[in-house]
Formats: sequence, C-alpha cells, structure tokens
Amino acid sequence: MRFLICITLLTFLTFTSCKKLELDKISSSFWNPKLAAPLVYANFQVKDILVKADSSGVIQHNNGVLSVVYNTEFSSLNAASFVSLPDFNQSIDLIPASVVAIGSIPSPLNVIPQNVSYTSTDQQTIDFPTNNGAELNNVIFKGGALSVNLTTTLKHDIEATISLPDFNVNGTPLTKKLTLNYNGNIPNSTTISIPLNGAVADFTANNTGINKIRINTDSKITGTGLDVVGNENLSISVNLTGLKFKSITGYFGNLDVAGATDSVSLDLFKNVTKGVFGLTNPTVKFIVNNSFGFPAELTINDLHTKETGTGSINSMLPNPNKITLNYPTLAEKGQSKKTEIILNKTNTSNIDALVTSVPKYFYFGAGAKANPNGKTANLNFIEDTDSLKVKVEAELPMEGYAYGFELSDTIDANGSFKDIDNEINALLFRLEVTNGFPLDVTAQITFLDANHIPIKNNLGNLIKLLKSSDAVLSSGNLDNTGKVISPTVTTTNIQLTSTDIPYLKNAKYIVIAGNLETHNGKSKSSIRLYDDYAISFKLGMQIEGGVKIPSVN
Amino acid sequence: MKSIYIILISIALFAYNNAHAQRNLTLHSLKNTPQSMQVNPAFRPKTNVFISLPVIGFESFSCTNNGFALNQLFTADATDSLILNNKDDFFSNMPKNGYVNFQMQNLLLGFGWKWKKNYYSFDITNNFNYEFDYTSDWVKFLFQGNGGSLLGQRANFDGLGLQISDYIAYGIGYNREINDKLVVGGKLKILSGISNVRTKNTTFGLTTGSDGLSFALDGSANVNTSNSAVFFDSTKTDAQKMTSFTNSISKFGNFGLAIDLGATYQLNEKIALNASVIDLGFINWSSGIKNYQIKPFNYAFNGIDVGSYLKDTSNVLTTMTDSIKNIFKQTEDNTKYTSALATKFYIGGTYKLNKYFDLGGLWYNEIVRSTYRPALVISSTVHVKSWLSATINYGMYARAYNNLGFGLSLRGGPIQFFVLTDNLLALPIFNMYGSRAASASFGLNLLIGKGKKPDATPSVQ
Repeated sequence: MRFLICITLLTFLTFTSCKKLELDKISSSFWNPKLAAPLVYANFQVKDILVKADSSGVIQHNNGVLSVVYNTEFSSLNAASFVSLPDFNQSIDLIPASVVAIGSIPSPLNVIPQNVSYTSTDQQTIDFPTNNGAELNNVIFKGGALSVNLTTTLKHDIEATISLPDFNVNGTPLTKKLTLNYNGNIPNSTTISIPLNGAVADFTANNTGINKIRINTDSKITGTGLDVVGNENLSISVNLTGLKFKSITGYFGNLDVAGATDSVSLDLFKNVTKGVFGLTNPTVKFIVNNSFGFPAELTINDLHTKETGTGSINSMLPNPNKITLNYPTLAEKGQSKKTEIILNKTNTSNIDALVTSVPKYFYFGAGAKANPNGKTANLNFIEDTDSLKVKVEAELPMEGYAYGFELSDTIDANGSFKDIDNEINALLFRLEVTNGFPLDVTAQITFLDANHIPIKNNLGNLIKLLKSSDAVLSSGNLDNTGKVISPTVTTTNIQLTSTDIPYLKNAKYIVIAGNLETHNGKSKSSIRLYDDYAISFKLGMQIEGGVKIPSVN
Repeated sequence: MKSIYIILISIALFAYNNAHAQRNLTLHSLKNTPQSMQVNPAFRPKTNVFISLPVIGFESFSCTNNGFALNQLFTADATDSLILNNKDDFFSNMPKNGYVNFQMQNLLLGFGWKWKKNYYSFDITNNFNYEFDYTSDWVKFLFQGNGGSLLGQRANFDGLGLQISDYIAYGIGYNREINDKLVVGGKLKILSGISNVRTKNTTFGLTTGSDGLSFALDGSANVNTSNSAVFFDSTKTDAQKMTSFTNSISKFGNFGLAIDLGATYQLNEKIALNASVIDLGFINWSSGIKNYQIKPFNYAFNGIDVGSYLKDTSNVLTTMTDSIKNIFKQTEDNTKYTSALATKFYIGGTYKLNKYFDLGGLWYNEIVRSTYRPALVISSTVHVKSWLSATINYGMYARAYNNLGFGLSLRGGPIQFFVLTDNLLALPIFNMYGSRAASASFGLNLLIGKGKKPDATPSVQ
C-alpha cells in the first residue's frame, strides 16, 4: 500500500513539475508572422511602354523598328482676311446744263412748263479700291448689297435708270429704274437696294483694265410748271457695302498667307533629368496642304530643340530653307495640293543631335508667302474656304544609344508609413524582371519628409531601398546585329530593416530615381527598339509583422 | 500582463470551445454513482431507487486539444522573453491532423428503480459537442504566415473542419442480473437534434511560390447545417426561423436513435470484467436545413495585372472580382442529411486488492468520423465504508501522457454528491498550461433504499 501511495505521489510530482508557462515573460510582440504576397505583375510590349510614357507622341513602326512621332499643325490666315473687299461709294451729278440755264432767265419766265421734258445720259468707269494692292478681275459674291439713291431739289418729276453692265445678277446685267414725282417737298429722294448674293462681277471693264466698275445712268426731268432757280441738284449715288466673296480671280500680291512659331513637347523625355542620347536617324517633316490658287513658298526660319533645365539650345539649319509649294490650277479649283518636305541628315545640319542632351521641347518657325516671284501670266484665284495648312512632324526612330539617362519621379506617400513602426518588423519587396529590351537600368528609392528633406536613420545614414548601383534590369542578350534574341531575368530584393522602419513614419514623399543605359551605350553602340520587344515584371512583398498585444486598462 | 491573460484565455477558449466526445474515464471507476450507467448500462446502483436532481443531477464538461498544450505555444527568444514557438520540432511533433474539442453534458432529469433482478432507468440529457479539426500546417500558417517555412510549399489545410451539434437524448435503460456473475444492460436513446453544423470532405491548400511572387489556393468543401445557417437567411421571417427551431425540439424535427449496450462479469472473487458500447446511433437532420457545396477550385494569383490596369483602369478590378467569384462557386440546397454519433467502446477490469482498494484498467476506444481515438487508463479506487469513495487514475490519450484523473463520491444519508475530473493536472493550481485535456463533472443524487448484499459489480451502498 505504501508503495502505491509513493508511486502515486511521485507520478503526481513528476507531472506537476513539467515546464511552466511564465506569463510575465511573454513578449509584448510575441507573434511575428511573415506574410508573402504577390502585389502586381505586368507584361509590356515596347509599344505599350512608349504609349504610356508619352501620351502626346504617336507610335509608328517601320520594318519592326519603332518610332515616336510628335506633330502639330498650323493654318493660314482666313482667306477673307487677307483678300478683303472694302465698301464702295460713288455719287454722279445728273442735272443737265439746259435745266441750269433756265434758272438764269429772269422770273417769272424761269419755269419748266408742265409736261415739258429734259433728258441726259451719263457713263462712267470708276476705280474700285482694294487692299494691299490686290487686283480684281472677277468676283463671285456671296454677300453684300448694292444700294442706289436718287436725290433732287428740283420741284419737278424725275425718272432715272441706272445700269452696272459688268454686274450680272441671275445672269442679267444689273439695271434699275428710279422715279421721283414732285410732292411739294424738297429735297425729294428715293433709294433702292439690291442684294448681291450670287452676283458675278467683272472688274476688267470689258478687258480694258482691273479694279474697274462701269456705271451708266439715263435721267429725264418732266416739268410741273414750277420755277427753276438754277442751283438745284439732281444726283444719284451708288454704294456697295458689306461685300463678301465666294471666289475671286485676279492677283493678290506678295502676301503673307501663313506663319507660326510653335513648339512640341517631347514627352518621352518628360521625367528625364539628364542623359546623353544619340538617335541615329531623326527626321522633321513639313507637310503642306494648299488650296489657294496662287504660287506660294514656305520658309523655315527656325528649327531648334531646347533643354528646359539648362536652357541649352541645339539649332538645326535646313538647306534650302525655302520650299515652293504646290497649288491647284484654275481647272483644279477647290482641290488641295500637298507638298512634303523632309528634313534629315542629308539636308539639315545637326539634325542627328535632335534629342541629344535631353531636349524637352522642339521649336520651329515657318511662314508662307503668296506670289514669291511676283505677277505671272496665270491669274490668282481664291475661294472663301481656301486654306494653307502646315503639319510639322518630328519623327524619332528608336534607333541609337543612350547613357546617363536619368529618370526621377516623386510619389506622394500620403501617410502610408504613419503606423509602420507599430506593425512591421521587416519589409522585403522582391522584384523579378524578365527583360527583353537592350537596356540596363539601375535604381534607387529614397524618402523625403514634408519639407522635402531626405530621411535618415539614427546612425545618420540616408534611408534608401536600393543603392544607386543596384541593377533592376539587365539588358537582354543581343546578337551581332544589336537585336535582342533572348531576355534576361533579374531578381532584386528591396529590403527595409528594423533600423530604418521607425523613421519612415515621417516619410511624406518617395523618390524613385533610375539610370538607364542602352546596351553598351557609353560606347555608342547603336540599338533598335523592335515592336516585338517585351518586358515583364513581378513584384511581391514579404512582410514580417510585429503584432503587439493591445494594452487593456 | 492583463492583455496577455486575455489573449491566453481567448486562445484557450478557442481551443476548448471546439470539441467532441466525452470520455468520462474517471466516472467509469466511480461505479457507486448512478451516472456510471452513462459509460456502461450494465452498471447498477446498489440502492433500490435513485433520483438525479434536475439541473444539478449531473453536469459534465470536457475539452481536449491533441496537438499541443498551451505551454508548448511559446519558446524563449534571445532575451528570454517568450514568443510563439516557431521551432521545427514543435510542428513536426504535432499530428498532421489534430483537433480541439469541447463537450458538455447536462442531465435534465434522471431516475431509476430496482425490481427483483431488473433495474430500470430513465433520463433526459442535453449533449453539446463542438469540434474543430485542424492541420499542423494550419497552425504553422497562423504562427509563421506563409512567408516562413511554408514558402515554396503547399500549406496543407485538408481536413480543416468544424463540427457542432446539440441534441437531447431521452434514454430508457434496463439491466438484468443474469446470474451471480453476469449482468447485462442496455439503453435505448431517442434523440431530438436541436442544431448542427458540420463540414465534410474539406480540402484546402495554399501554395506559395518559393520566390514569394505568386500563390495558389485550392480546395473544396461541403457544409451541412441544421437550425443554424437558416438563422442568417434574410428570406425567412423570425417566426419561420423560430418555428423551425421549436419543431426540432417539440416534434422531433431532427429525429435520431441510439443504443448503449454493456455487460459486467465477475470472473472470480478478485477480478471483475466489463465492456460497453455507448452512443451507437445517428440523427437524421431534417429541420432548418441549409447545405453548401464549394466546388473544387484552383486559383492562382500573381498580383494585380498592372499592364491591363494601365491600359484600362475601369475594368481590371471588376474583372478580377468576377473571375474570383466564378472560381469560388458555391451551391446551396436544403437536402436532409444524417450524422452518426461518436461511438465509444469501453473494455475494462478491476482487481480487488483488499477490502478497501481496487486496481483497475480501462481501454477506451472512440470512432469519430472514421478516426480512431483510443485511451488507456489504470486506476486505483478506495472505498471507505459506504459514505466515501475516491479514485485516482493515470491515462494516456490525446497524444498526452500526463493525465491524472481523480474522483470523489460522498454520501450523507440519502444525498450523494460526487465530483471528478479526468485530468487533475489541468486545474489551474497544478499544470493547466501543460495539459492537453481537461474535464470536470459533478452531480447530486437522491438514493433511496438499501441493496441486499455486496454486488458482483463494485458499488457503494
């Protein structure tokens, strides 16, 4: 029995003396799970990247080699604004000398007996004024009006007929008759107005000149038995107002028809702070579409790129810088004629350095003049809708080299790290890039506080996720023609340690800076970007949490 | 410190709030209590009549975590502070499929009487079972996340599951003294299921790429529920929900049957043998049914496709959500289902050392959803006249070898009070954090009438 009791006690003591749990020793952060999670991945064709990097450029490809094309367009002045038709006014005295002579007869004999008539006829050819020395031969109007006013101080009945033989309205020369019957009041007058919409006018006075208007008037005075003093008047005035043309034939002189200085933002380089580029075959195209019916010439008077940061300018000089533009003949009236001018290494000095030194803007200045060689045998013509449009294209074939190509972007952290020291012991981002581009990229990530001051840890060291020499992309493998034949895979671990993490709660901004170099770019080995190049990346995160026991009070 | 206690208690509650199958190993040795018929219907009280008082007649609680004890959860770090145990041997010593369970048994009413060589009994008990099945990888995932040693592996959650059931058993017991040596007994139990949740054929896995840049989820599962998920069904009114619930209780909406069988045999003056089968039965769940089937799926995630996002910012997340919905397809139905009870087998024997002491041995067997869970117990019981019995035992079960059971029965006049536990060491004053199993039971009986002579089966007058 004693044996049994002893065994029981011994067993009991053995069991109760097992490892105890000392609760007061449990760490406040006793649970530190590590979570691994993929965050994002992507597969990009080179075209996708270029489109994303540069929304203003157009991606084209030629035999698989990609180009980024920037373009802008400017137009001529409005046709109506450089050939305008001014208002016209002409007054003609119609009182015959015989009627004036009656006024010199002593009263009471200075009367025109009732129903006795006197007639007169007048023919005049008058110059039509034009702006800028323009010469008008024929005009088809689409607006405006002819008004004719007949006025007299005679106390007799008047009848006048006015004709503009060179103005055809609905196919008939313009003739109008005006009548004034004496009604006891002087002066006595009447006005008529004729719309000119659709009227066709010949300003050559039957091929004898230019800018001419012929006006014929016939008048008849029929006596009322009242007197004539001798100083009465009888006149007719002709007014052309609000004239708008549909088309004009003539000669318009040496006018400036178009002109602009403009710039194009080369957005492909918008995040680039510096770098050296050599694009081996850039071109600048001027594409002119002209529907004006006269000779014209385009003058390229400025062509340069400018780096915003340093202000340095790279000027290019096209030779020749004056280009004769195509234009429609009279038979081709209404059509537009295209002229394409391509500036490249053969005709423009310095163009191969178009994007060297990281330009941000491409500037150009150009203007077009009418009749650069003066008057010719062929008449000019113009329609109200005619224009001269100039499209400027800067085409950057992705062929060349680059090095020291620095990109930088600042991201607003937006309070993301505010609680990081409470919850995270360590953080690891893993980036795996499969690179089918002939590009090497190194990168560095730093953090700024609200005052844009870089954040340092307690040791005074700058907190950074990568060293500036860390390669995140390694060039794909190239054949001897410089074309990528197989991609390379680069895995980069971006680690935040417990030394740095507490300081990140002050981070307001994240600065991502990268340095890009084409394969052997420093040696100026030329590469091409083909449209089948692709890059893929996977970004994952491994996070070691420090789950704290909440305090209970 | 207060926080630590709260977390530990939470963990303990979590662990111990999921359970199944009460062993009542110590009760097996306290044969002088009418409640010992719960473990063998051939056991019989020595008194002519017993009445177990409502509510306090018999209350029993047990919980088990066969994977680890609380003190194994922690290990000391370099500063001697305790952190969660991430050591390989902690996980390798854990069973691949473990469980934590909790069972509660409440005797609502019980009585019995002796008539010649027969003993009749009737009782009503409420049985609540809660079990959570887990895998070692699941614990590893909780402790380490998927970025620790699970990196590059499939975290195996196959078999992860939850079983909850509550039912009332109406038991009619009978045993008969066949001769001086043999007593046989049985109990027919009519079961009324109240509520049930069970998962079945669950297979889940999380495979994380070795580089951490991808993961994949796979799995499938069936979930059956009765009078539980239906309470979250917005298409049903509160009255409909309650009707479903009350019908289950009052009209046997979830009907079940079970039997207990047992026998004792007095081999000689010193040695007695006994055996029993408990809870051989089923419940047919028919009321308030809602079943869910998660079709086999396999979803690989490599992150958000930024490429698509850059091209079209509007539809990427919607597309991803839609595709996930398509992958994790779930169907629902209201088909009745049947669940088996966890059947237990007890085989034991006692050796009478002297007038006061017995030595006993018990082999306990339990089959839970095709899983065999055994226990071995040796015990010693002391009888001091008719008013006191005490037993102490040592058990090996739930992959634990530090289970020390204790039971005490006291009688004063017609009142009998007893208290017992299968693991004394799980009490807070001893080694609560080092135990994988804990249990406690107590009861109060009214005993009327004396037996004629000491019975073949050890019992107390």
